[in-house]
Formats: sequence, structure tokens, C-alpha cells
Amino acid sequence: MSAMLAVERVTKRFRGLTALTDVSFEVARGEMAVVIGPNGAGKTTLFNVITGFARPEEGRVTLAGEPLAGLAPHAVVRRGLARTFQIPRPFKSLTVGETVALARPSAAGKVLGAPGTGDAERVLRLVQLWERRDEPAGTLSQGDLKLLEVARALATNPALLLLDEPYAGLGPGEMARLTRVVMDLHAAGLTLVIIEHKLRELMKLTRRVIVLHYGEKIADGTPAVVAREPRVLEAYMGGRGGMAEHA
Amino acid sequence: MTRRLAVRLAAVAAALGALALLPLWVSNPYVLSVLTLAALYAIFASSWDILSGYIGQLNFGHAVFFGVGAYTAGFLGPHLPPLLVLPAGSLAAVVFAFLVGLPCLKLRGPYLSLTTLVFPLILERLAFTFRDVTGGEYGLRVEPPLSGLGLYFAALALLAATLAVLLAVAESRLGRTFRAIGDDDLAAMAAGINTTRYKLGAFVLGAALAGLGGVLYAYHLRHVGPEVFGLFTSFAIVIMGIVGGMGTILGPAIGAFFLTLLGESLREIETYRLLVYSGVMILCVLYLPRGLWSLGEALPALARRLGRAAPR
Repeated sequence: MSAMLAVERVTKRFRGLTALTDVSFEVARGEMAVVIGPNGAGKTTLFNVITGFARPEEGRVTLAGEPLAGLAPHAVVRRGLARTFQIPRPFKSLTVGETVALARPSAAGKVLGAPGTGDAERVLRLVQLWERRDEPAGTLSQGDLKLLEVARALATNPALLLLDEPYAGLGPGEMARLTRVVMDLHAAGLTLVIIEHKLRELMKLTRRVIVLHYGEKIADGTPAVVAREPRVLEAYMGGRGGMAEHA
Repeated sequence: MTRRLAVRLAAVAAALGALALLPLWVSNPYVLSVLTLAALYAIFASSWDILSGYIGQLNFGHAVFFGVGAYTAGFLGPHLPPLLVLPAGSLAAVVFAFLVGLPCLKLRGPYLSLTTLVFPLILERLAFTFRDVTGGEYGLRVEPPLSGLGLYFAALALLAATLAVLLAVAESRLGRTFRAIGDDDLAAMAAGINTTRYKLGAFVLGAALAGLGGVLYAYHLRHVGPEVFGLFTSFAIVIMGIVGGMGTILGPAIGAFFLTLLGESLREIETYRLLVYSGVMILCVLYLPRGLWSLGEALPALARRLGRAAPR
């Protein structure tokens, strides 16, 4: 029961293509895990399977011991598992404040206390968007949109938060701001799983890295251990596809 | 109540109040009959807007709901007191909203719209097939409990109630949930929103109101026949909504009045009515993409600009 998230032998196929092959890992309560891997490694597919947006052909996912199989995405969120999208998906006809107020809070969460009226403000202050609460969500900058994604997910009061490439498209100042938010959430005891390319930003923060390559888990451990793994070096540095720029 | 809701309700009260006073000066029964029809179309178009404009699922089959309401008036009119026929028409439409909605609303994107197109055509066929009950192509005679001025006031009252309900919903958390689903349904799911249930809710709400209007529609025509499920009827509602301005409730109502009055003023070319409607819609899409409603926003802005320019 110590694992917040358990991914057990998950395989996901699209037509002929196998996007995930027999992937297993656990994330402990309060842990921060980073999932890395070259483009097309299956990272986003993994998130989609975990959050109910895609159904795996084999294997299962459990949240705090409860299987999530067959639950619709919104039902997964109500169980306390929230996600963000790599490319922000704002509600363009709502304001920042309305966006956050619309999220349906789960009962499982760590971020908010008991569901109440102050939640929207707390979440927006956390990501420093409170001053922009009356602006239409569609008019935010790319960086603010990314933070609004995080705010909307937090407003569902998750016990586990999945962030899909939160740093992509951010400038240096925005990155620092996001890192502060992530550290605050980690310190508050929220369990986090983060997909990221920007390793430098995260290696400072995390002690747990999971590496996917062509849909398989090829390494899992501390950043130092993973960086010495021969298959990781091969995936990133040499051989197939020339992924050196991500390292 | 938000300020915006208060302003819009006041505008509805003023506009419909003016229409209610119109018979003091205009006693021509033809004019009142046309305005009655326009008010009924306004009920259909605004109730269509909640699913189509807010959730963004273009419904080509809204005729199912007011057609079922109209047939209910045909079936039950002789057997029930008029005040029970109205809720019966609404209830029948709601039943059909579930019948159509439950299988359809899990579909995403254009598939839902395409499916909604089919249902009125099925009902049109059924009306021909079960001619013992429906009267086939001749339809059913409807003995209206109200006519002329009485029906005119009833239509205006129902329109007022419809717009008030829809505006209140649109400005509420429920309305924002509908808009969020329309903006991005995956994001709405990620926010914990059960999108299928809300789509069904919008379907049912629109159907309940359209069913009420459908009963009055049968009273107005004194008749109900399979043509109520025809392609023209369904497209007319969509065109009224687009021309008026989707996602505003009041826009589609304005579009309904505009196109109904335009259609009547071109009565000699009746045959080409759908052509005229489509032409107006194309002009709107090209030059006024957010519909006649956006004129209301454009005019004050224009006036401000002129006002700023004037002192120089």
C-alpha cells in the first residue's frame, strides 16, 4: 500500500505499432519521478494510459492500491489523479479564475484542504496567476498558459499529479517560476510524475528517473545511476536516431 | 445575479414587452400570425443554442424535439386539457432527447452532428409508415385552445420564459461548464468534468423547451404533419442560430425573428426560401462571423470611435 501509483506490465498498441511494451514501475507516496526518453518513446502514451484517456491492451494501473481500469478520464480525476497537457488546452471563453473554479475537486487530495471557496485563490496564488484571474484564459502568454494548466490540475485536488513536459516552450524566467511551483508542491507532499526533456532543470530536483525508449523501460533509478546505464547512453548519444541534443 | 445577466433579462423584457403592446396599434391578424411564428422559431433556435452554441455540437436534428411536441398536441389535444398538453409535449421531447442522446453523445466531433441529422428523417419516415396513428402525409388536425391574439401572447410568454431560463443557465456555473466542454472537451475531462453527462443535460434542456414550443407550433398551424421533420425545418433552425450568433442565446432568437420576417416579406418567392436563408447565412459567415448579435457589440464600439474622433 505504500505505492501511490503502480503501473503493472502495461502494453499499448495502436494498430500494428506497439507504443508501450510491458512497462512496470511504482511511484511512492510523496515521491517525485521524472520520465524521460527520446521523442516517440511512448511518454505521452504512458500518461494517456495512466489517466484513462487511452486503454491499455495488457496490464493495469492502480492509484493508492485501487485499480483504475475502465474508468473514464473524468472519473480518474475524481479519484485524485490529475494531469496537464504538453500543449496547453485552455478554456478560451473562460477567464483564468473561472477556469480554476470549474475544476471538480476530488476527495483524495493533498493540495487543498476540505473543498471550499478559498481553493481557487490558493491555487492561483501558488502559480502566481491570482492577479490575472479576470483575464480571458486565451490571452495568456505561453508560460502563463503552462502554469494555468498546472493550476487547473491542482484545482481538482489531486493526490498524484502528472505533468507532461511542463518546461517545453518556457523562457528562463518562467522556468524558474515553474521550478519553484514544482518544489513547493513536492515539499507539500504531493506525489509527482513529470515527463521532461529539459533534464538540467530537473536533475537538481529529482532522485528518481525512469527512461523510456521505443516503448520500453530501459532504466529506472537515481539520475547518477541512470546516466551511467549503457542502454541510456546508446539511446541518447549514439546509434538510432541521433538524440544527442536531448542529453 | 451577474450584471450581464440582469442587463440581458432587462433587454428581453423590454423587447418582448414592446411586442406584447404592439396589438394596441397593429390589429392586422396576418402580422400577428407572422410574429407568432417568429416567436416560436425563436424558442426553437434559442433552445438549440445551448447544445450547439455552448457545447459546440452542431445539432442538425432539433426538429425532432419540437416535432415530437407538435405531434403530442395532435395525439393528446382531443383527450387532455390544454394545460396538460404543454407539459406532455415537453416530456415527450425529453424522452426523445434520451433516446437520441444516449447512443449519440459519446461520439465526439463531427460524428455527433452527422448522427443528429438522421433522426428527424427517421421520424419523418415513421410518420408515413404508421399512418393510422399519424395520418401519414396528411398529418393530424389540431384544434387549438388558443388562436389569434391569445396564441400570440402565449408564444411571447413562452419565449420570455425560455430566454430567461436559458440566460440564467448560460450565466451560471452550469453554462460555464458547457462553454468549457465546447472550448476543449479533453481539457474538460482533465478538469474532472463528466462531458457525456453534461452534453446529455444540454440536449434534454433544449428538448424540454423546444417540446413546449412544439405544442404551440401545432396550435399555430392547426395541423401537424411529417414536414415538421423535413430537412428544411432542421436546417432553418441551424441557419437562424448561425445568422443570429451562436453561443449567445439571444442571438439565435434575433436570427429567428430576422429570417422569419425576411421570409414572409419575400412570400412571392416562397419556393426559394431556403436559398434566401442560405444566402443570408453565407453573407453572415463571410462578413459577420459571430452573427447579427455581434452588431450589438460592434455598434457601441463604432459609436465610441466616432465620439472620440468628433471633438478634433
